[in-house]
Amino acid sequence: MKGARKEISFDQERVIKKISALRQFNELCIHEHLGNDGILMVDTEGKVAYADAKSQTLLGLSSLQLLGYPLSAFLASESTESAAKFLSTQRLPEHRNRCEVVFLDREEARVPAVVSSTPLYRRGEPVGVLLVMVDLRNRKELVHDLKTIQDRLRHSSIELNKKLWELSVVKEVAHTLQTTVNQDEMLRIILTGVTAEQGLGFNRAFLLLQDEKTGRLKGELAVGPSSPREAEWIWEGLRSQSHTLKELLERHRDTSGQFDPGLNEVVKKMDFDVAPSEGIMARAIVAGEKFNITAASQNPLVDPQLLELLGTEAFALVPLIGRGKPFGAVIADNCFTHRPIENADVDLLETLANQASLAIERARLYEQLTQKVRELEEAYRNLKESQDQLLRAERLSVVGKMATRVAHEIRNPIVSLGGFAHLMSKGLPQGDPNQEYLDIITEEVARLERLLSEVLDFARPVEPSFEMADLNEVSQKAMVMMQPEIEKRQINAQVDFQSGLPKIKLDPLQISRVLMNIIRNALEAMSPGGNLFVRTKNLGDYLRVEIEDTGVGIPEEHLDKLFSEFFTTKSSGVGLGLAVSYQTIHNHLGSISVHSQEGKGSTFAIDLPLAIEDQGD
Amino acid sequence: MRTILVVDDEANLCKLYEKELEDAGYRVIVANNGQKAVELVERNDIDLVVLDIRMEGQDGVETLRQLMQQRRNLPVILNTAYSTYKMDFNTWLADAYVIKSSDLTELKDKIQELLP
Repeated sequence: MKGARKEISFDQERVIKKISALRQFNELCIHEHLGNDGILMVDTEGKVAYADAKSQTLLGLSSLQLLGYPLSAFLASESTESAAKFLSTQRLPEHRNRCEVVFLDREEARVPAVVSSTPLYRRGEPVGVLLVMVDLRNRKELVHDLKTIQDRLRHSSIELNKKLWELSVVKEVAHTLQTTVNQDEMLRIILTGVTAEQGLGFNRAFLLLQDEKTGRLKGELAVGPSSPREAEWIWEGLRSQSHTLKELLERHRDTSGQFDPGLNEVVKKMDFDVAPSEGIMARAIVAGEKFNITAASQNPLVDPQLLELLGTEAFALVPLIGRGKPFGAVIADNCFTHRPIENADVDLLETLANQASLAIERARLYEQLTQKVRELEEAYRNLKESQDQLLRAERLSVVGKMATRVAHEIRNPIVSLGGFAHLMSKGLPQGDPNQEYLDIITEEVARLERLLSEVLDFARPVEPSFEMADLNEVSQKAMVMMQPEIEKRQINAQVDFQSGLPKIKLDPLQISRVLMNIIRNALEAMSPGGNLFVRTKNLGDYLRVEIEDTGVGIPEEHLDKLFSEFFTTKSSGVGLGLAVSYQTIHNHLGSISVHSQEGKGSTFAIDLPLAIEDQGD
Repeated sequence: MRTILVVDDEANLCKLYEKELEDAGYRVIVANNGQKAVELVERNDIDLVVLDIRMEGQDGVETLRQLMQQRRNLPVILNTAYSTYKMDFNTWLADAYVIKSSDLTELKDKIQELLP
């Protein structure tokens, strides 16, 4: 039995230890949770039944000094009434269980605190109240901290809203810019974003771009009213329509030509040298700096011309930067409302300008790309043309060989025919009726021979036999050869040869053939009474022969085909004359050109270089 | 009176040249092939030769070469329907080059130039 008793007492000790450990653990948990708050338990008689370490510290009393004493003993007199309330064991709504009271500590010092009470029940019977007390002695600091946090929050919220709005403006403008690659349209969208009330809300905006060749900064476009009256009128109109920024941007993108004419007259006058100057324009375009100018007339960096054109003391200037290099600038002001421009406004303007720069850069790249595509297409067309020409040349070479053979075979009989006709006509007495027929034979033979020469020259072009010759002499010879035809067609021919032309390297026979060919064409284009002018001139690097007629002229659509082989508008001929002429002049390293007006006449100009490389004739 | 030898295998052309050149005041001898031309130059006192290039048998270029061996300073005018022979360096021995034409003015001008 003895042993059994011992066991029991051991168990009790263990239980007590366990309970004590549990209590400590509970207190620890509660304190972890409650932090600096104290816990008290009060029985139904209002006496303290439990006080945790925290509440002891708060009141500066030990548990011995607290337990068994009425709670009211530790309260300031003004708090006893409220104590009655929170000591009631009645179940009350949560918020009514809280009240502010003042405790008195060991030194009778006042300890303000908030007390929350919870009635405790056992088997439905109230046994007391659990109190949680929160020390309010450092409340002032808490309130101050709270206020600071609230202020900070409010400020952040305003900032956030502002940033959100700024982002939405930039996004809206950037989005609209995405929809076009047309630079003019882009510039308008950007400036509308800068001036719209729903956008950055500036009164006026000017956009300047750097001229790629001269480097000068030139006004390109402006948006905004040109007078306070116009401003009133425009803004009133816009307000009554209540457009969103998106709608405004869309609306203003393509009002080409009639965009704020007054202000655009001003912007066109903007033209600044940015190279040597130390002014704001130079610094914006060279160093990419932004400016918020407030007293322009006092600022030595502001160009007086700019000041005069803007007519305002305050404005913002930001650069447009593409691929790291500034290429333009945006100026914005509030010259009508006189609203001060904040640095934040300039920052936002800069953000918008950056978006704009990207878009403009994109447009320029697109333009370059389009240009390259055009060049490639052109190159492709040329290639195709060359290929066609090559094919044609190949075909022609076969035809040419045949033509040469046939032409040669034909030439001998033709020479006989023409030669004998010529002989016969020499022997005929004056007035013989056969004379006319013989003349016809002679003429027709001459025509056939010319045609043969054209075909042969074209099929087997002859390299020029260069010699130093006088162009005037060669031209004169061609005129003499053409004289019978000129007379026959009753054309007034005038020559004007510049005297003292230097001798140049040419093949006299080939050049005179070219001249005769062109003169013959001129004669054929005119009716009797027409005028033919043949002139020679020294133009410095080359000599020119000009053949002008007052004939029917050449239709514009024929001009570019004029020198192509087999192109002809005549009822006779094979269309090789001008093609051979062109080739001949080309072989002389010269050029041949034509100006013509339908119904008025044509002028052919042949330019032959004064000095050409040795052709090894 | 100067004597001109006309060499061409086209009888009609020879007849034409003969008549025209006689009218122009020259004595004219005709050969209808290259070999005959060489023989005639051998036997006659010829002042100038008008020579066709494309002929049956011995052509004008070969004939020109032989004539030049015979008489280095004999004036020769090449007369042909082809202008391309000008490119053949064998023809450079000739003094002039005239393309066949029913209008003999150019030929006569050249003859006068070579036989002043």
